[in-house]
Amino acid sequence: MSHGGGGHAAELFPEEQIFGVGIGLALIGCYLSHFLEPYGLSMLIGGLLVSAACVAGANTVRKVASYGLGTGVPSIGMLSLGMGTISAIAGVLIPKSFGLTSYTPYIAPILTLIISAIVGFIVGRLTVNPVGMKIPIMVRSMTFISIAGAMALLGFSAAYAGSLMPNIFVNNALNSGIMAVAFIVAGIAILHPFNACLGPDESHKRTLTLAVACGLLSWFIFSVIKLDLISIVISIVLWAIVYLKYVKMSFKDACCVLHTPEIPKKEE
Amino acid sequence: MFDINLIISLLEITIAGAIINASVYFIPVGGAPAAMATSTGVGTGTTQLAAGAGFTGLLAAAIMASKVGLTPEGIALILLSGAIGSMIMLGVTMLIGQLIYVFGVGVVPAADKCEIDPITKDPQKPYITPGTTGHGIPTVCFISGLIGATLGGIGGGLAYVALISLGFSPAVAGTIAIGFFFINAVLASYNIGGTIEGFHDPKFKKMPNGVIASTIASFVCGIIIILMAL
Amino acid sequence: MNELIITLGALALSGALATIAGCAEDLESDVGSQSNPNSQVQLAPQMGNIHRYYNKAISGEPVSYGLYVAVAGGVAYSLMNFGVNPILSLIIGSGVAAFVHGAYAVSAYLGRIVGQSKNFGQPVYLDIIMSHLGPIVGHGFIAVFCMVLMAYLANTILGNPFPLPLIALIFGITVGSIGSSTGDVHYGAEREYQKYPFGGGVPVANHGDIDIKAEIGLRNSLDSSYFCSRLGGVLTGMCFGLIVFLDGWRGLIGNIIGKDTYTSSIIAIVVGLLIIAILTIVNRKIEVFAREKYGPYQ
Repeated sequence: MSHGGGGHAAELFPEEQIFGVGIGLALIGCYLSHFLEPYGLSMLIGGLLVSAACVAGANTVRKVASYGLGTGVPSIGMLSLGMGTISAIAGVLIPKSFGLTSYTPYIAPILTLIISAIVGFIVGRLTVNPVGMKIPIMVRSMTFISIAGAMALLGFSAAYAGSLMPNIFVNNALNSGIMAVAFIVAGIAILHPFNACLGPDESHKRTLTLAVACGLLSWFIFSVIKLDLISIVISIVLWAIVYLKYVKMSFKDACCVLHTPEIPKKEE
Repeated sequence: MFDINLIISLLEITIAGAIINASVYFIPVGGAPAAMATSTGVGTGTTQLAAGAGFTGLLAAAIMASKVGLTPEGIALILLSGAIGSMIMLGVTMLIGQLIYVFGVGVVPAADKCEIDPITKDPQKPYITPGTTGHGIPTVCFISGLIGATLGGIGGGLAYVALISLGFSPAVAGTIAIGFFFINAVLASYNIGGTIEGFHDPKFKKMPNGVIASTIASFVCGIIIILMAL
Repeated sequence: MNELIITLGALALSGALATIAGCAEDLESDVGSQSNPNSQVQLAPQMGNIHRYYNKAISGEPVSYGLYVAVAGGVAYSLMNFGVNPILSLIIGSGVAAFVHGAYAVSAYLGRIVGQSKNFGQPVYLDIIMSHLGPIVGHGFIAVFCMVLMAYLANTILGNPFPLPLIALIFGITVGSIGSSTGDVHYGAEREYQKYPFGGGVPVANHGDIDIKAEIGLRNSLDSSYFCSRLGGVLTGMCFGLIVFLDGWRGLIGNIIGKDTYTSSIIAIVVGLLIIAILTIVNRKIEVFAREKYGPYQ
């Protein structure tokens, strides 16, 4: 009954599977955001694929936060995006430092993945050793959420900027401040599903459905920011479908749905 | 490619991370229980309050940095501005919080972790509602919070100065500084694990662990940031 | 001198906007029961109190307000670049943010209530969603619009070097952390536990035993905003207004008195220190007042 003390949450799909698929899609999304820009499809296809990273991150947050963090669930989302910011910017800017500017679009997503994994692993180790978190899967989870945060940030920023070339990326996504929006939008999409659904009757199916809805909502936000009409329409329709599914699922899982102010009689 | 300025920036980033981490321990936060007047301190989460104060300081530092150059005096002014900005933010927040505790909830500010307030020498225990661990923001917590805000502002400002001197534009530096701030603040809050009253709290002794963790994490981040700026 | 007057006007407007934003933010979080006091709403069914409160656990207030204001700022920024009138862009941006807010608010209510529905018999009240969503989104819209307009003023007139969405994010996080640390105390410690006598903290043993009955009938969260608007909301507004105003004002004083950048900056810092000293003294006065007026706990 007591939740938050076991990490025993039943799973629909194994965590690695969701994570692998989500990050794989997001990685492809990052590349497509760059290469499909001439066809005007970078937000439509790139944004959609990148929202998978939010789902992957949300699923990992569910797993680690069900152990009880000692402080709110939001902190881990912010930590994830904090590590993600540095990794994502580094992924784009480091190739330039080594004179590989023209190859940046090929290197950046992979480099971001590697750097975020390193940063996540180190920070994860630190939370276990000097800081003293008692969660057995802490290091692994930290690595995972760091990667998820970084890929979501890089992907949404790239889909907005339409390029991974350092000068265009910095100018369009960073100097405009859009990356700050990506920071918080992806952060909420990662931390919200579990934060909203936690409780003794939490089910993986519901949390995952909400995670998909949150990912699509993030995509919708960036479509609006990019003023890309086709993406706006498609993202809002997809979001509405998944969201309604979540609402229906919630009604089905509730003990009862009431429309009037009355308190059900206790069956003693 | 190898430059003494890069080493200085790396050091600045590392120290900034350690200072930001240390600042969190000074800020009296009661977490969720404080919102019910069940524990001493401001009624919100550790990270979030530190972030609120730190970012106000960051804004103040950024405005100052756009006015003065990166000379030694300029840097001193930037750091001081950051510190004052976050002190005002946290000071006003604690004061108004205190007003609500006293006039809205009707409790006397009292600290649980010390018998007498080390600054005002007032006894604390008789004023605590039984079953709670103190409530409100007594003077010792207020002063501790101000120290924390000072450190948070200086830490945020120092990180910003280091990033600006590496040649990033204000927007890039600001975005990185926010991410960097969150990493260090969350590390501290995991170490604290909920509530802390300030420098008189036994949990304050945990600080070295958090600072070590933050120093290492900031050093790693610093290296990555230096690689970006080469 | 002309420029100085415009700066002064922008600063005064920012202070006023901040006051409204803080107040609306706090009342919104009371209607939705967000942030820390929400832990009690979450706990109530486990203690056998089936309640009709809203349960809006989107995330902590700072993060969620960061989201709304940053979204509004981002949308407004791109619309302005597209050539739309600034004020209209800010309004449309806040509208998009309000939509996002509504979407997250409903999913949070459903998630948290259903998450403990079967075990503790807490029903989902559809009429609560329908009646509360309007005030939540409405209050949120007011707060977000004020914040994003402030961010716009800071960006264009008050000389802030950051781009609009980044300032918006920072302001959002700040307003959230202020709202959750000041006004929410009034809601959490007093409104939720009104059946207990005034003048004491809530002992741990009473946690979760929140008031489920209103003056008439069953209590819902709309009643809370009425109660909290008498102290918590107003003080939250004053808090944020004061921060914005004092912080800007000390810089302005420096600009008026100081001859060059350095002296004006130093004057600004000294004025800031004075303000902090005054805050500390006032805090001590209130503490002494409470100790003498209320006395030890009986």
